[in-house]
Amino acid sequence: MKPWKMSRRCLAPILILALVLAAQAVVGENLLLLKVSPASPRVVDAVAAAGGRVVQELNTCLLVRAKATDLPRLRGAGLACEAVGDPDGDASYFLMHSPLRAPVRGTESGLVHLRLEEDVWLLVVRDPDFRSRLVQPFRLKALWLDAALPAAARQPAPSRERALRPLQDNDIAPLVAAVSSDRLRADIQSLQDFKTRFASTAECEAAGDFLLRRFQELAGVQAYADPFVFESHYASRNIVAVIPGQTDPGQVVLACAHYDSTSNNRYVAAPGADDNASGTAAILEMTRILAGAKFDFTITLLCVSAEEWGLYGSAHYARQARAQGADIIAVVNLDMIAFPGTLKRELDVIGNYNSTWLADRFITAAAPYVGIRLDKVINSSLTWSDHSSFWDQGYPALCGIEDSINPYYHRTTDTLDKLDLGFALDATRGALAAVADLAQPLSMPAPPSGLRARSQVSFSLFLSRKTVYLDWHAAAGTIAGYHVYRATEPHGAYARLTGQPIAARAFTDFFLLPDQAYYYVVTAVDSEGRESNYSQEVRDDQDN
Amino acid sequence: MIRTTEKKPLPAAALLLSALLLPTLAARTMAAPRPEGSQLFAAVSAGYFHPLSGEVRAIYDRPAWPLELQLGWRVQPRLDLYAAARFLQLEGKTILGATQESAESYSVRLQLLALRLGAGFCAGNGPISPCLGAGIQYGFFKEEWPAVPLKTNGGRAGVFAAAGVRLRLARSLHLVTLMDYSFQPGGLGSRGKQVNLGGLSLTLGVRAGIL
Ligand SMILES: [Zn+2]
Repeated sequence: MKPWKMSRRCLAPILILALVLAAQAVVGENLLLLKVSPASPRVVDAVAAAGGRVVQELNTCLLVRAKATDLPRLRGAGLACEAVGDPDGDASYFLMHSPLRAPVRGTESGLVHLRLEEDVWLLVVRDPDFRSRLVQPFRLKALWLDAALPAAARQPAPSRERALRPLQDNDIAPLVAAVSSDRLRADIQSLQDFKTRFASTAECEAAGDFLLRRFQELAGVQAYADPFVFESHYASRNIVAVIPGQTDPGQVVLACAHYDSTSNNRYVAAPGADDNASGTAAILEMTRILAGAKFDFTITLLCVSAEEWGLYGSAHYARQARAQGADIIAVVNLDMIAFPGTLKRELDVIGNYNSTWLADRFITAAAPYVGIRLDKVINSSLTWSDHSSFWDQGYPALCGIEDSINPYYHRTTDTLDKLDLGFALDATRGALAAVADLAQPLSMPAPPSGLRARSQVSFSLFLSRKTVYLDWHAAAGTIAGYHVYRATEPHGAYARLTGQPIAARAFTDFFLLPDQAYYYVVTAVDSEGRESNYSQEVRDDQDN
Repeated sequence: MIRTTEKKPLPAAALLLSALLLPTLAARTMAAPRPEGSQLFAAVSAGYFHPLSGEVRAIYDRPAWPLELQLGWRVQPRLDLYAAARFLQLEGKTILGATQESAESYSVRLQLLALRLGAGFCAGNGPISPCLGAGIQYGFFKEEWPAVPLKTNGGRAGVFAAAGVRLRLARSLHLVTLMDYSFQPGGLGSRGKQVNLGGLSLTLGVRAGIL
């Protein structure tokens, strides 16, 4: 046998095997970033059923991470799919909001931009200095392709607004009255005086130190810095203030604003007075006032960094919160609240579908205290500020932002002298009223503590029913009785079970469905008929 | 929830078949006995019921007394075919899940009405004759917690078989005592297991020719 013949015989199967393996590697395991349209809850479910994972939800499309082999199933489900990237590759991905037709300068090398929908672009980035090629004004959000949106982000949120007790203006009015425009002005000035707060600069870190000191000066506030690394070799810190809740500290109302800034000369001068010393000053003022009051729920006040780089600080915080199971019931993000323009004097309250209730509640709580218009906007494509990092983790969040075009936006001229402090005062008052309302100021009388629940199921052959036994500690003061409330989802719509206040500190709830979880709260009623806030919530089988 | 396949009716069905076929064969080979006189008969019986399922016994722990009415046709001297209605009421109280102790229970009631079609065979001509019978039944059942009120009902096919003794009192009047076995599926119970509402009954009744 001639040598070349033998080698050809052996080579053929090897070649075929190699081809099969290569095809498998290319087609089978290859991950794709897909633009899938249209966007709707039904489509999100269809994507999940076909093996894809939604990494970003927009108004008209979804960005989906999927295997190449899932593509036929996605198309079979009637979805328009377009491959827009390779999640396993060496590129980074950003969403960019830009109203421009040509938002990128120069050649495509190292930076590819694709239009996803009106004003929303996908950037595929290989050049770390890509920002210098973007045309202002633009806003960036780094995409996290390793993570899928949690299911909670796609479900209608529980109707928490009904689980909160009705708005109590008496408790909130004195807090709102304490907001000072002089303090807002002074704090914006202090932040502007750092010259630049572009994250990664020493000046930005100094601004972080300033904020931390301000929080540390307040009694009753737990203040700390939350460091994080972004784009591999940059570091910055979120600055956090926590006012622990008195009744149910596990539930958190979070207000945030980014303190970093950017400009057309960002390493030298980025005063960022409107964007976003204004929101940061509001957070400082709210912290000062809220620290002097007591609330049922914990209030976290968060000054975020690296927002201008792509929402890195808030993504770090929100991902960590989700990983730790933090129960954040609402997020209020303030970003640019001091440039109303000349005509409208309007604050947009932006939410996604999950946060519609929060936008409504915000407007209801804030409206009595402000002389500006509050305009609800529900649009899941408005992902360009820190509220979007919380949306991604399934938390209800909104953004309060001026409804005007600030011509000094992301420029060295965004300074205090351009701002309308009266508008900032109103926006801060509104945000403070909403955060206080959501966190529930402690009421008279105080709610009962020590609520416990134990349940047992009784069976006959074909039927079964659950009995829940509740007991609690006496509330302080002269208490005439207690009301008991029940919901079928955590902090859901509570229904009162007691017609009249009951004198006993125990209650038995009979004949409940055995497979349904029930959630209870108790209130105290004093001799003048005033009802307390809800107690801490318990689940029916919590103490079994 | 996944339903497990019912396997118990098979031996019972075999019993039924043999009960139907054996008397016919036996009747052919034996000399014809002295005729009873009537072709149609009615019977009434009552007795004591013992549930076969431990879960039924745990909940329905009070004595239960089934009552049965029969209308039958004497096909051959030793072979009867009959239709019957059997009513049974069980009373007891709810039980608690495994990990729970103490606390209250609720009164519960289970009513079972079984409509039966069966065949009976009695051997011998003397005043006392041993008898065998078997058939199919359709059981309608209703369970309720009267105090709540809460109830559920259902219906399923089952089988039964009986053995006993017939004592002749007069030419067309007999006293019958039987041990009755029934298998009556009830479907999925509240604890996710298939429920058998059948059991053993010891009954005493009278049977009279009517035409
Ligand atoms: Zn901003």
